[in-house]
Amino acid sequence: MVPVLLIVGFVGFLLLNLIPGDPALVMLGPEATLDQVNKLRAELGLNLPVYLRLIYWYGRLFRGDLGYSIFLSRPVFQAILERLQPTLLLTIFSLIIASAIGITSGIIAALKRGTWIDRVATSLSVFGLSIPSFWLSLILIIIFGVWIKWFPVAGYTPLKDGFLKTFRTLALPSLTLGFVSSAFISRITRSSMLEVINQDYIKVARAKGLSYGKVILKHALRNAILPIITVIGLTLGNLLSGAVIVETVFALPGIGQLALSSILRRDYSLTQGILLFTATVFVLVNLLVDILYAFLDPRIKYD
Amino acid sequence: MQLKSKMKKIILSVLIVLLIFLMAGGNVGVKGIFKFRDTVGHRFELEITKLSNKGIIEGYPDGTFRPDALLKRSELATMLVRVKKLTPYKPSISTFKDVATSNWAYGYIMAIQKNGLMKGYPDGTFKPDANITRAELAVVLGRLKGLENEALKITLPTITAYDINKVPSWAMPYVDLGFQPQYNFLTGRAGYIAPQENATRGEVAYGLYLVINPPKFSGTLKVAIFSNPATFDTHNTTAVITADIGMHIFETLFTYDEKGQPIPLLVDSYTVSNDAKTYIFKLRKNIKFHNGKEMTADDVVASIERWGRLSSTGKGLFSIVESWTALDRYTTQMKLKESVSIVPTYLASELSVPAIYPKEVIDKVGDTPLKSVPEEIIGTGPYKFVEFVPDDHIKLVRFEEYSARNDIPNGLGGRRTVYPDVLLFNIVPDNSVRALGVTTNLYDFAEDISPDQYGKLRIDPNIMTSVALKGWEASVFNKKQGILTSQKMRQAFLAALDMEDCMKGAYGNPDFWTLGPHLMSKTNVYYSEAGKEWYNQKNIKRAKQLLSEAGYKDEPIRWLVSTNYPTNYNIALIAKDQLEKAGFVIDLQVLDWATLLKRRADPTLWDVFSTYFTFLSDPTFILTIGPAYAGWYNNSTMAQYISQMRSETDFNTRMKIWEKAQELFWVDVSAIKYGDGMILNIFRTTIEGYKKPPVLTYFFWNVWKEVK
Repeated sequence: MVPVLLIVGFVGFLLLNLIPGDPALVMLGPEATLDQVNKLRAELGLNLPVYLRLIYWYGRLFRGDLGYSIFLSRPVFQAILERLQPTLLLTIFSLIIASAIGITSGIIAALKRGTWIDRVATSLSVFGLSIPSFWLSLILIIIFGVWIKWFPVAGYTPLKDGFLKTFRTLALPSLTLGFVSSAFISRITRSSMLEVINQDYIKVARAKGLSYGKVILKHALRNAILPIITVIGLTLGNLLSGAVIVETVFALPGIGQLALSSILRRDYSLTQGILLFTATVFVLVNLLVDILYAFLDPRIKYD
Repeated sequence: MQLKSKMKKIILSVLIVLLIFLMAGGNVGVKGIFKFRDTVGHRFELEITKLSNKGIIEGYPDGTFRPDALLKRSELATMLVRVKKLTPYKPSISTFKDVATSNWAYGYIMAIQKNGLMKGYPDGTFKPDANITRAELAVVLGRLKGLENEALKITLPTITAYDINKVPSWAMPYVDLGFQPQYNFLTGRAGYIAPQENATRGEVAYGLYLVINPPKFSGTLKVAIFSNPATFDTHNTTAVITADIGMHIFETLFTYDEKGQPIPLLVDSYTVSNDAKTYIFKLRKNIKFHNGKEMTADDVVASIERWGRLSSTGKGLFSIVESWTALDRYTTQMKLKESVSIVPTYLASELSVPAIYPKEVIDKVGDTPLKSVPEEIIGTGPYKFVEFVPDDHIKLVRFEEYSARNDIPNGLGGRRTVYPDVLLFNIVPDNSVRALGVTTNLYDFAEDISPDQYGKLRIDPNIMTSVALKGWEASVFNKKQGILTSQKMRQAFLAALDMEDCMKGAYGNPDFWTLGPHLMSKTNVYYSEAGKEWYNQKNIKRAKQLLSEAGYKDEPIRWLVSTNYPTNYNIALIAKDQLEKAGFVIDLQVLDWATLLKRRADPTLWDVFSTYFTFLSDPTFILTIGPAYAGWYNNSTMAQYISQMRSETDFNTRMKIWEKAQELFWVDVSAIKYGDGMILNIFRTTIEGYKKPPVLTYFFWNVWKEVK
């Protein structure tokens, strides 16, 4: 894990410094003269050579310090923590929706393979994979926010103002993300179920006289679950590292918007911090998935 | 086969439902409120619309209201009868010798006379066909409000205006009351009360509406803005968003009136020596900062000094400042090395605002940008900074100890009253979501909505639209290095362009762009059409000829443009096509804005870049005609014009120099101006008192929320 993070940090640092533009330019606005820019650069410590800044950055990192965001006037770690709540809740809600839609439609499609139900389910998942999430967001906003007026069209209410309010603000973005991410889960569920469903032991189970539902859920799904878990894990990682587009459309102050605006402003230390955060999330989720493997399939052992 | 057709049916119905959703998405029904066709964008549009929907005022049969036409006394009497819900009173003998019983308004006039709202003249006449003056209107509205007893208590006016002395004594108490924040039923005319002039139909509608619905001191005003400000430190940036928000928190020594001319704000009065080399500013007393400290000359000296070090406008001024000192606690003095006529304009600047900060904050932060925390964002403004949650909101609250000026509101100047308790700027990057947020009552105001939505929103009964000037679209040439250092090449570039195509392509809706060679806005006193023969030539032949005269050999022109500003990008695409027809070889480099800024700083990397400029208050502030701005324009004649304008005090002489300078801009082509672009701001009809600012995007003092 540690080497992965170190490499991510290194590559990220170089990439960021390769993009032209710097925070001083952005902060001073379009009409600034070169003098002013150089002056502010010196004050922000941006006039040091890249390798020195990299060394300083690693030095601080090993002391557990992610640096300081110039634009947000607060430590990077704090800035990320402040943004965690909406992203975390959004992830949880969307993952529930995505798994519910994805697994159910996947199973049904597999069972009704070749029928029109299968085709509808498959086309829906193609639709989900190819639909731009900002478009779906706007459609949902118009339907549920403008016409039926169930949910606000944008914004975020933090948990401390009441769970119901938070839920209302997150409903539409969760629905969007849930639907879009369900597509992949559905496809994997379908193919993985198809593989299992024609195996002999399924026939045996049915022949034993077990109920259809029990066979599907206990015998088939359990054996088909590993790839599904992998995909859900990937989705979890993606969602946690911030859904940039959906967060921007719905004006949610989450990790995704933070990442985007930090890049646009060239807020180097913040972008670096988010990059490390994202890498950590992916490593941890992978670890979790691996542990789940062993739990779900006793044949898998890690030495 | 059967399965297939079933599936087709399902897919078809899904598609149809989706299609209906999409099509119906743009359809907000027109019901309830009716809008007159000639009041769109008028400053009293809101009050006229609301009052006509209450049935108190009526328009003309052709669907117009004619808000700037005058109103007869008999017509006012009719409106008052409707407001008071009186029944017309028709005694057999008329009280007034000039109102016959057969007069169409007889019943109304007598009813209103009986009620005591309009009493007629001492000579026994009513003058039903005379237009009502503004002084008379003040009295009538005051009586309608029931302020007779209040009026008796007033002996001296508490408000001031340029023409306060012209208010007749019989009207003075009502004029004074009518401008008080809790009543607010009178409006000034650019700082004048104009008591002897006739009231317009719009002014009457405003007054009646305000008498019925006085402003309330409560509520949260929610404004949807498009982006985070990179900093709140107005000295340190030229970003418009920082100035837009900063103006609510910080104040300046001078600000702009309705016509965009500087008027005192924190300054009480000032004197200029005859040679325009010494300015003495007397500050207003008892002005409190948000931290409770009184503002004194020390704060002012420190703030303006810092602004002079950090901002490009400030540097321009301070390059000729000999000394800038505090004479006593409330007086400062600026001595200049050469004559400068426009020091107040400098000190009102909206492009990196010379805001006054407390001295101790400046001592603490030095030249580094202020942090976005309440301990450092301290001003004297009507709103106080509470918090900034990036990507979410900026929260300001009413500053209870704010000391307002007592002159009547005039543009950004005059008395500032904060009615809402809280002013919340919500950061909503997507423009359609901002619009939907206002239509669903999530926000009260949203800036920068797509012009495509204008037609729909203009007829929405809950929405007011405000089309505001954004600035001018421009491409700036590199005059230091490369092929466009040749004047002929730049002239060829200009000759080939069809500005109408460019602006139409970028803005679409013709309500959102205009053409013209002016570099000062149409509302500014320095507006001029000088150089119009060079603007919008669309002359490919001439361009080709100029190119061959310049000896152009198909060297690629490196053109930097950013997709962060879609209108810049679209114009560049259209212009590229036109230029290629004339024989130019264009290498369009599409970048993000930060990259463009970086590359622009190096003269070896580019030949032309696209941007847009906001219209400024004084010609000498225009960056692209000066040598410091990217493009490095070094023209000695232009430099001479600028320095002459800086020192000249006489308006007519300045105007003449400016016309020559603008002409030179088009002849020497230091940059291209394509046209003026507008933006669409919208707000709910519950937001009252909103006025377009003379500079920048919006302001939210003297604005209140209707309480039902």
